Amino acid sequence: MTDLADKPISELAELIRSRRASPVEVTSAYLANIAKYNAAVNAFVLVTEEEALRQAREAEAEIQRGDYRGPLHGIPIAHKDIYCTKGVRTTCCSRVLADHVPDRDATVVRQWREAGTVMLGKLNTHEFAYGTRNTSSSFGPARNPWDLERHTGGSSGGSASAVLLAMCAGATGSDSGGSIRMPSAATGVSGIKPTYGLGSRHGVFPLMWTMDHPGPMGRTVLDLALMLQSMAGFDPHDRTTVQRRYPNFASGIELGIKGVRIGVPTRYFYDEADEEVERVVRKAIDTLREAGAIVSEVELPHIEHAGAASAVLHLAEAAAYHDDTYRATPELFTPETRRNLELGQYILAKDYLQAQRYRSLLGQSFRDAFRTVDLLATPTITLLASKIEEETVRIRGKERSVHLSMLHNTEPLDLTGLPALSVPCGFSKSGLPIGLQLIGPPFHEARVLRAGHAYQQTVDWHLRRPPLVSKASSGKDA
Amino acid sequence: MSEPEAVGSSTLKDMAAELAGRPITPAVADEHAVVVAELMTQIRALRELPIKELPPPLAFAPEEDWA
Repeated sequence: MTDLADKPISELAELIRSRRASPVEVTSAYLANIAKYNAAVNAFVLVTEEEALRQAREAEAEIQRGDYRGPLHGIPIAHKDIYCTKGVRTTCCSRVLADHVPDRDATVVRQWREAGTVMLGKLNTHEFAYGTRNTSSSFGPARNPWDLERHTGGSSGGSASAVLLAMCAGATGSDSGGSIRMPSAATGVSGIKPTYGLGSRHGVFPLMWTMDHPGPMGRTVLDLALMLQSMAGFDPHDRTTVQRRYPNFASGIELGIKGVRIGVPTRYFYDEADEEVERVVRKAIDTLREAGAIVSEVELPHIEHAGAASAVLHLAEAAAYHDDTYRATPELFTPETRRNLELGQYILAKDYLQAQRYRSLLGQSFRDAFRTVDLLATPTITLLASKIEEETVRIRGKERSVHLSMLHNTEPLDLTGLPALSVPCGFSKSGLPIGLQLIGPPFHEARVLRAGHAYQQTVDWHLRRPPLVSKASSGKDA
Repeated sequence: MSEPEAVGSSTLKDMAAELAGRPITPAVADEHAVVVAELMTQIRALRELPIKELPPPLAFAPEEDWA
């Protein structure tokens, strides 16, 4: 793996700003990694090499004449293939949109472009973001770089793999039930689902209007802060975005975690977790305690209904959005998406509204917990990444649905819209990554990021590379 | 108040054809009935939550700027 592509955005930004590295050199390094690794992991579904190099040359020229735009200027990124990219095919990894070329950028794409990023291409996703493993895609499944027979988590599986293997410096993902955090945990990268309304959904194909959250994925929490900065803000094209002044997420991120009160929920998040996952996550929380955090237990009443509410909402909203295509050309969907759309036909309006009311009830539970703590800490997902074809897995002696287990710890935060970060916190004995989820009150991304950054200053899980990299590096260690 | 009966596959078949406008085969209806049975157990629990006075967090507001 070339040295430049191995650096986080925060370091690349300084090299580019000080002209010790050119955007063209950096972009070429990432393109070389795409050529090396993508066939094995199927992260990119479209690589826009010529255009990327053109953008890199343009960035280089701008920087040389002194027009430096900020830390994302000249940084190679990629977009999940549900984000509209003007003039560049955007398929949602579905045959429904096989030849779709948008005539406009999504707001986030425009924001990152204006920040000076270089777009390398489009990334694999579970079809229409409607899944937890990125296994149902018109381009084939994304494969976990730690074990190519296993899934990446989803739906933003391509984004996660691409970041892990330094095929891009950062990527967009989206999260409606956990689709940034699930693949982050399953592949060992960092990802944040910000507060609902922080980032614009305009130009991002919806899965669920009321629970879709755009967000960044990257190697480090500091990188997430830099990427999130360019995503935050009111968008008149998306009236669910909130008019507020956002802090500089990277400013103060190094202040540490001393005195920060971390709540560990007494039930739900750990009860159904694989024992090895629980052990590794609790060890990570001990690390936070040793760094000065004050750890205590908290209760979250009513959380046991999160799965039911989430199911009712996603079935109804996705069925409503796709209704015309589902009625006209259902065969264009993958069997899994089609089945979900069929099931969505049976949700009664009164149950949909009950599920929406439940969101307020659950929000009250979290609000009450945050009266006594500053953050919550849980496993991001309750299980390790399973084999691509497996639908069930054994956890604590019980046979469980992989799909439902993947969602279990992440979907409550989509229901409540709270900011939630996943960072790698260790590995299983079998060499699979495990994620720690840190949750904050609404619009307290800076607090969440500060804690994640503090954790990453004491460990190196987020810097680990899979064996795939060693094999491709002619015998050198990654 | 009596417990509602389990939703049967013929009900789902009729709902799909008559209400949703997209007929499904009896075999698919049978598969769905299994999933819906589990979902209905969870939905019944949602229906019993003590949230009568809690409105849904959905509010229509007309756009302010018509210029």
